[in-house]
Amino acid sequence: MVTAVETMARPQRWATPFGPEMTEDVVDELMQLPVFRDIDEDRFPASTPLRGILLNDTRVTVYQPGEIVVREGDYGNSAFLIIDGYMRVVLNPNLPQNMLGRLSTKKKGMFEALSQLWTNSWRPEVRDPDRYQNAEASGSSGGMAGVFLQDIPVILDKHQTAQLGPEMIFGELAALGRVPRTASIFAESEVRVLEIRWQGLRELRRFDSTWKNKIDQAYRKNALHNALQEAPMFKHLNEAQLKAVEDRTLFETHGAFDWHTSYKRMLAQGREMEHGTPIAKQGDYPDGILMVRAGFARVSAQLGNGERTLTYLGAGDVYGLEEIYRSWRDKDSDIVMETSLTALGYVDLLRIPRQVLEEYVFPTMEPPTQRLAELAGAEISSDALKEWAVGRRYINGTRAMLIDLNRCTRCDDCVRACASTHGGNPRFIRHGATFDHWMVANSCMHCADPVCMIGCPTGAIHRSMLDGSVVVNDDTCIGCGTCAASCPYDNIRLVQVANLQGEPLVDGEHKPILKATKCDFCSSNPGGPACQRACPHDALRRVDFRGPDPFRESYQ
Amino acid sequence: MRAVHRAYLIFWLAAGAAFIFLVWNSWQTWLQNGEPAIVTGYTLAGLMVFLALFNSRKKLSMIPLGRAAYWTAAHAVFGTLTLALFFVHTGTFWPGGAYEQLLAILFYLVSISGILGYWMQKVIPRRLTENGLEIIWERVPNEIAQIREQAETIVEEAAEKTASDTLARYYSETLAWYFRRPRFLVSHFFGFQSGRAYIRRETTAIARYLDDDERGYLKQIEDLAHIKNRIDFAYAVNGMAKIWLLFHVPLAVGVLMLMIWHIILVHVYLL
Repeated sequence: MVTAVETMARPQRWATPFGPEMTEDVVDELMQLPVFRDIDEDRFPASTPLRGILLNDTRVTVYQPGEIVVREGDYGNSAFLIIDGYMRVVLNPNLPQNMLGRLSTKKKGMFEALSQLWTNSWRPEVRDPDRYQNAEASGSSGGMAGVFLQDIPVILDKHQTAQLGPEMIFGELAALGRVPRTASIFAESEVRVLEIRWQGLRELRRFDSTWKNKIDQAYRKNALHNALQEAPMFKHLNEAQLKAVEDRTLFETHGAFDWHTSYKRMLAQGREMEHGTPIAKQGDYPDGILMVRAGFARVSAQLGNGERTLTYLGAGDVYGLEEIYRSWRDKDSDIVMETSLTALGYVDLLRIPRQVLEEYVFPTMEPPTQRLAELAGAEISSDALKEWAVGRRYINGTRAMLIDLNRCTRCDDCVRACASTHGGNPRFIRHGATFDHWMVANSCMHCADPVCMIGCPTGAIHRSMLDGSVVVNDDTCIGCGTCAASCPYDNIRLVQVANLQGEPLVDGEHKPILKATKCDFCSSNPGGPACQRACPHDALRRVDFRGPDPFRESYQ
Repeated sequence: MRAVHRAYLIFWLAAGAAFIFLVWNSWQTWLQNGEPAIVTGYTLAGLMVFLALFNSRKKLSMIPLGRAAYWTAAHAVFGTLTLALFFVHTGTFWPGGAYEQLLAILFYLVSISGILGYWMQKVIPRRLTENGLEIIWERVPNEIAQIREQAETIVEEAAEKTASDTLARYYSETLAWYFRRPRFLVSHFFGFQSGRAYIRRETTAIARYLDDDERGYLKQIEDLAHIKNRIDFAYAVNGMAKIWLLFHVPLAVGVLMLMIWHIILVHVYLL
């Protein structure tokens, strides 16, 4: 029986500053910049003053010419403000992967992995308290120093680029939208950059209207440009035409950014499907298509006294194209929308007006496939699993743990395998919501829209820069429980940690030190997720709900 | 075709080819006045070691040793090959000599428990799923304690609100036994409905002595009893799968031990 305890200072939000080298002098210098000089400091609460944000949520980095600052495809949790110097953003085509110098993840070697057999503690949640004294926040950084492009003139010659100068902000799209970086950016000259982790960016946006407008404008402009550029239907357009489309496209956001609150309320009330925020209604006149940029939306049609989910839309999907195209082709103005569109949580949309499509797209476009008729013609009972997955928002999961209960003997080999790769502590519970013979277990789904990251005050929970897994930096986690409370699926657990002798760690007031724990998709272990490998009955799979039908028997 | 089904197919083909070759090789050796048991014996020993490695693979989940589902497939297929090869090696169902008979008994027990395990692996998941109540086996005592507490609260409330102790007396005389711990485990495992029959019998027996208000309370207790019945089912069926491993693995270790001694004896006295 454990009787002794070890006392340590309770970790606080700013216990681990983003940049350890940040000083009051640097903050004084930053406060002279026009973007900060005019801010009304009184609008910031005493708990998060402007100077505190600059001191703890930002860091100044100097990049040398050719040095890559962000890479296209990486996940990052911070935005950048250029203090002085110039950068280049690579627009088209993207830089090749080898040129970007992608780093391999620091995975355990075979022996190191095997050594867990004898190094795992039999005591639960053991930590070495010393490591918390030397914690670094770099794990949640969005920047990446040290990779240089070799022949910049050739790159400028072969790739379309744009220059970024002082006081320009970039990276806010990935930081706020929880999406991968859309372009690579490198230093053109020696450049000083203020890197702002997204928690600080959120506070600046919340308490200062100038910053809010600046961030939102940049966010909307970049989002719009990138989305249109990547959409297959606009691929054939030249820059001028694309610009014309861009000018007439509207940017819309529906639903709440922190949608998990209403989702949890829905579950607490025992409802399977939230009504959601209506975006378009069946029977409406089709005045344009809606293209999903981020988030999810439900396409439904009325059936009896309810709404039948026909499909759901994610990033890049388009709503309303079939009807508008038919209306244009047949010159029939009586054609109306055959389905309704509802925001599942929050959704960022681009509304592209009908006139734009008729002018630039339809004349050269292949007729869209008649998918809606096919979906509406399917047997009602065949939709049950889809309705369940959409209603429960499992469509958010990119690596959800799906268990076929008709194969699972409940042997818990998966749980033991997880524990054996995580210091003796399992990082999921083989329990969860079930439908028919399927269970989505309480294991982190590494969501496309990880709302757990919204409130984290230290950035401890972040996307892995390598594979996009949502992981917790144990060293910087202060155990506030915000992520656990935010997770719509109850997949994050707070655990009380102990020192190497198994004595509980407590703070000065004798309150336990807690840490957030969750599935990390075995990102540091060789061989991928141990749970899936360990299942002797082929019952457990990690699935992407946005990919091929995860319930399909033959899918493997 | 699922990847695991493909693995089964490949393993069956390999095992079939190996068996045909070993039978042919034994026949040729016998024709040349050789001792075919040497090859079949060592092959058998190798197969048994391979089958035993499956358990070690489960302990080594932290390193990539292939998916356990493939190991299960290989375990089932090559386990069958081992059984077939055992008869080729011994040439009989019942070998002579006490030691060999002991080895044979243990081998048969391991084989039978293996076949039983394979059958349970196919049957148990569906039975648990169709039970419609997912519960973690280790949490069953806690769940039953909570149900018992709810039942006792209902009984107390019934006595208080109806000013009658009939239900309370019946609960303490009869139903308390049922709510104390998992019941009718053997019946549940073999698919009988003793639990439901018990609930029906006991609730019918007391209903005639209760008024409408008391019957309302009895209905609540009956609903809890049915939930517990499903928990008992999960406990029995899931528990059997766990207990099975406690037979199969130690028996397999016993066979391996006897097999090693058997090889030593053969080398000392016969070769």
